[in-house]
Amino acid sequence: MKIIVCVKQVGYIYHPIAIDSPGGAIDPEKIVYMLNPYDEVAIEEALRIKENFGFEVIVITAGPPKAEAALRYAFSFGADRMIRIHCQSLDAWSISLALTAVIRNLTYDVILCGRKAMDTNEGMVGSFVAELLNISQVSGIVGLEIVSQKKKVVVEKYLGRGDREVIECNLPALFTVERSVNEPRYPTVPSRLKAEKKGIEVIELGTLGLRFDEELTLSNIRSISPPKPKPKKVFTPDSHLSASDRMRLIMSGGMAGKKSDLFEGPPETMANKIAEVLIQEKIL
Amino acid sequence: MGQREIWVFAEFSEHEVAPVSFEMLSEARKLAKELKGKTCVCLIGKKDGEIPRSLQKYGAEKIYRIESKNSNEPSIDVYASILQNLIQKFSPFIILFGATPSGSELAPRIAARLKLPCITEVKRIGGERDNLVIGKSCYNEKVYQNYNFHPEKTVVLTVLPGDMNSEEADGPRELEVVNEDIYIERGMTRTKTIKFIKGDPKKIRLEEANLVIAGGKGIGKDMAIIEDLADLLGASIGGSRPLVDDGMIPFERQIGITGKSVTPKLLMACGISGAREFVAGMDKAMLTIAINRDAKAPIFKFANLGIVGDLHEIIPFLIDRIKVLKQKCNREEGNNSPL
Amino acid sequence: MIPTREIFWNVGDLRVAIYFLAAVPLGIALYGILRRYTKWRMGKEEKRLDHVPQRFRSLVQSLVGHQKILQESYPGLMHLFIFWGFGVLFLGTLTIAFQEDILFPILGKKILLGNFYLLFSLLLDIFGLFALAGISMAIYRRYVIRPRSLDRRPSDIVMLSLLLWVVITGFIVEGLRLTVLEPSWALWEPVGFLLGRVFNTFGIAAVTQKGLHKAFWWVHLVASMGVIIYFPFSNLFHIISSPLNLFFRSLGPSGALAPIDFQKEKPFGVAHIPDFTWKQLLDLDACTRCGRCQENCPAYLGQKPLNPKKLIQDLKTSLNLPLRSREDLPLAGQSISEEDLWDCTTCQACVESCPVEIGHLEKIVGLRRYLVMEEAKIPQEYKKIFKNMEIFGDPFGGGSLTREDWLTNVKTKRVYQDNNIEVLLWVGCTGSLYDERTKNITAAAAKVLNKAGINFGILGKQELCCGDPARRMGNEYLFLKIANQNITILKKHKIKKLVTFCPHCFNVFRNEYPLLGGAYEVIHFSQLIKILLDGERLVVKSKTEGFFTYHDPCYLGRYNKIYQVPRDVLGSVSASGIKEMAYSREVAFCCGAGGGNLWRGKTTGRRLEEMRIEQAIATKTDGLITACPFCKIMFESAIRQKGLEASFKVLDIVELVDQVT
Repeated sequence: MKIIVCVKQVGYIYHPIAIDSPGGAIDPEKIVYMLNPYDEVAIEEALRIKENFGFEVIVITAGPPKAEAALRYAFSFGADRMIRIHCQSLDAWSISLALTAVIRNLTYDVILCGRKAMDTNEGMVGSFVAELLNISQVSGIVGLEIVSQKKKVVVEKYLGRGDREVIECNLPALFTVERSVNEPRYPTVPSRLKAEKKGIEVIELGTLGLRFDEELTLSNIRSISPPKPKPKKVFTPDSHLSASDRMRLIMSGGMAGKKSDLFEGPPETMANKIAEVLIQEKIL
Repeated sequence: MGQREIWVFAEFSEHEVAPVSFEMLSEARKLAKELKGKTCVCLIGKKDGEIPRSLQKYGAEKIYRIESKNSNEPSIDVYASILQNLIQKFSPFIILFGATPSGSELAPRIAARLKLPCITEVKRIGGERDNLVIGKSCYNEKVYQNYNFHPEKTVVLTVLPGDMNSEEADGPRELEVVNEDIYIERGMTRTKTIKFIKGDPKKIRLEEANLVIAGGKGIGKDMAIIEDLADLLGASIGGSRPLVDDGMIPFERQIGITGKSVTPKLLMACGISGAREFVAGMDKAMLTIAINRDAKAPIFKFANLGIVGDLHEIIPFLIDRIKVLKQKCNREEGNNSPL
Repeated sequence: MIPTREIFWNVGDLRVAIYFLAAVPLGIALYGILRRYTKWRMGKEEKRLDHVPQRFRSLVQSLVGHQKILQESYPGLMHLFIFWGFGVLFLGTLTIAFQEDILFPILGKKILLGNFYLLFSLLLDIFGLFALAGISMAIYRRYVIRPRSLDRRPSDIVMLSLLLWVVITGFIVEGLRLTVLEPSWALWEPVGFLLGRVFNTFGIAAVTQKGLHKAFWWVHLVASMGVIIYFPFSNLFHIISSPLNLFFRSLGPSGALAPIDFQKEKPFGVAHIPDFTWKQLLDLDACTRCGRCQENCPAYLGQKPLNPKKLIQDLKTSLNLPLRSREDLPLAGQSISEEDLWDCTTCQACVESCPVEIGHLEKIVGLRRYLVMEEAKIPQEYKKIFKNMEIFGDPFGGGSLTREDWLTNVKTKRVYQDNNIEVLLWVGCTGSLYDERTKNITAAAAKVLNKAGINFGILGKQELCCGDPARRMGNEYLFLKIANQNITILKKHKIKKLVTFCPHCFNVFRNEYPLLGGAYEVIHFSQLIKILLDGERLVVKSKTEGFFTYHDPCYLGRYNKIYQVPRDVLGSVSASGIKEMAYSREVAFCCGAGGGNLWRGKTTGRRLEEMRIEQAIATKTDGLITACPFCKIMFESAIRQKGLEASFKVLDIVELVDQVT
């Protein structure tokens, strides 16, 4: 049995302000790169299956040469092959077309992906690839079990608040994993050294003969900009507050750190205030 | 194409229309105004079931009521096939899904099958002349991605629950109902739902919890007070290091730099001072309410709502208030019929 | 008549037999020693024959001076008595043998004559008494006082009894000889003389006395042979292994770890006994189970499972196992528990207190290296720390640019903009990325340097973690990666001099980077302050009124022997001087942050920083001064836990100096 794991090297912005002005670029000094945490969970799950059943695990990514660092890290969990499709950072549809084209030439039983990438935050590639390959899929799983002589898989799809849906799936299938599926291992040094030495199979995007529809790639992104504060998260200010205080409360529903005005008063009033907010936020 | 239709895929949670559907409806209504379109809802279920009045309350003008023949199982495979059929037939301008576990899977699947543009977890949708202007956040909400294009095909969008405002529509509306029967081919379903498992907030991992009540040194020895509150709200219990050190909660429930990192919708910090070691584990909570006796406690810098007071006095009142509100809700709920 | 002694008087007829018999115990003893030697040889190669004269000198100094042993008075005195007592007695026996077996048969000469013999006899009697006193003290301590540091094994009482009996029978034989022979110089053998008197009061006939003499002579011989036969298999073996261990001890900086060659070594770290070096295995035999390491170990005192004495003894048990059973399970996690290994804060209190120079810490790190690098079995919370160091370049995950956040209102040069500087202020991760409390130290350091007019710069966003946490936690692979990156950056900016206020950074740059190709002049900020104060480049405007105590950071004190300099500085800036805690300098109690424990989750036992802060509060001072940002974090946390923020301050020495200059 073969498992393919699709991974992505993502950028993480560690600094609170990444772009100074609309239309500006992300300051490269404010980004660090790492293997997408969701993909780390996926490769860990693949390795657990391999350790139980002895399957072959192939790790594949689509990206520029610097993405090889993430690919090697994923490989060091114990995979067998590494493939990189050489291309720049592309949109979800193009990546999916590229991955599908390469995966079609491989034999596989299960494909695992992270549910979404931490940077682009879209969560579409997994589902796109499964549809393009015309195989079964479940996204957002938190549990996976191979049953009945490896012809079927039973997964638990996460429904929120700890609820799960148990689904039986025919193979071949693609699953996108939630972060809580497992706790990824820390790779051993011998396997890191092995991953450093092992060759990566590189496939040029051009050789895949793909056509990228602009309608679907949506490459006409106008710009990236600093985040716009959501008008949400406004607490109906107490009517006895002054206009300026109310204004300040409304404006403070923004991104730059939370600030609260402190409320003090008799316990019952305070309790009601909390209940008010809970209702407003639809928790009650 | 006729009038542009903005579709909302109605989601249900526990036999009731989920709040995210109302949020999307309100947004759809706004869009319909901007683009001179019609607000529609896709309802999948029995043809002779009642249509929730709440849909009309929030602005639905047209309901597509779909019954799937020869398939009773409400699986995503089935929904995907149904919607595929529907969209091909009626070509809405936009279809909105909630970015819920079901919606987040359905949207890209439909988009891939029908080759439609798809953008997930959008924060802003607007019309600018003939163009659609969409904004979405990425990189942990630090960067905004803006789209501006003229759509030739149905645009598939998902919206996170809580991102849009839900507003009731003003004035009475006429509701148009379209009934559709869709036949599902056997081979279209490759998955089978075996059962559902309900999550117990007491047992789920703290990182998965949607609601967290966290206690600190200020709790003293009286865990019961936050346990009761957590039970009422269906929340999970967490805490800062002193509570773990005193053995009142296990280490798996510690929040902080050496404990867990939680990202709940609500975090209530009761009697927690807010040292850096704790805050590092919860500063990504969407809504933080802090109760502490000391107005200078650092926790207030990280709270959306700060209450200076004695939690032992405030929380009992809060528990009472919630109980009262729940009773009221239960009485009102009798008026809405589930589908 | 010339004073002398007829050797083998009364037992001469068995002389030849005795020599034959003597061969047997000697043979057994030699076999025992050889067996231990083969055990040591199981270990890996290590070069320890450098600087032989220096090694020899320091060995003699330790043996003669007993400095470390005398750190505890009762056992120190006891050992002094035993060592010199039996030492001199043994030399006496050698002298006799020399005369009887070499000098007399070949040259016909005797030396045990006349005044020499009288002195000889007196000395032997006196040192015999020392030996008796020492052994008695030992038996009393181990079996009556029963301190926590000592355990009891059957071999202990056997050997102690044998030794006691050897001395006692020796005196008895002497006494009997003197009563029978009644030489005029008997008083020169006072003990024997007194004993003889005692025997006489019993009115034993001379014939019987001779019989008794012979009998006791045999008992004395058998007991001595017993000692020789048994010593390689008992604690007493340390008379060979401990001096050897002292001779071969590391001459490098204290606690400096050996790097790993990832191309050649296998496995990485220590999985089984043969993965230790021969010297590390010799350590295990040098251990006398004195228990000082245990009694000084903060983890042990904090009721955690880690016990350095038990660690060494458990390793010794593994060393003694027959060869085949060694092939399976690795030591870490089996004979040595993983939790024990992670509890260690690498403070070196054990190494410091060990009279025979055992390196407990390098074994712990060796085992950690195996756990981390070969098995990836680490506490859950450590994964994030390692990943942070790889991705962000610091254990906290703060990121490069964040390192410059503290610079908001202090004038400081960034070396990547202008590298014309005298000295680089190495800020370190804790100083720039932890929180306000530590960033204050950095700001204070920069201000002090500006006040003194020093042309300094910082690496700022180009700084990476010095790598010390990774190395101490056992992740040598990560350490090498980061260290090499640092060496490249420092080379690029042509940095030759570093000053830092973090003892961990200080220690690793000064003592461990040179082995990797990065050699710099490194001083700790407290040393710089002293130089500046002495040279009047820094002037104290008004001494602080506060009355403080000082905490010696482990990596400044025990690792680098810097105890007095910070005290001198504090003397210059504080009007009332400082009050020492009960455990300071070499025996200072660790704050608990080292070895990765700052990031450790739930552990058993007490929080070490709370134990130490209680010691600090007991001095009834206004607060505690330390010279390490990690210590500051730990103590501030302890103070907050106890709710004493208002009454007990915690300050870094740099902050204090900034306040008063």
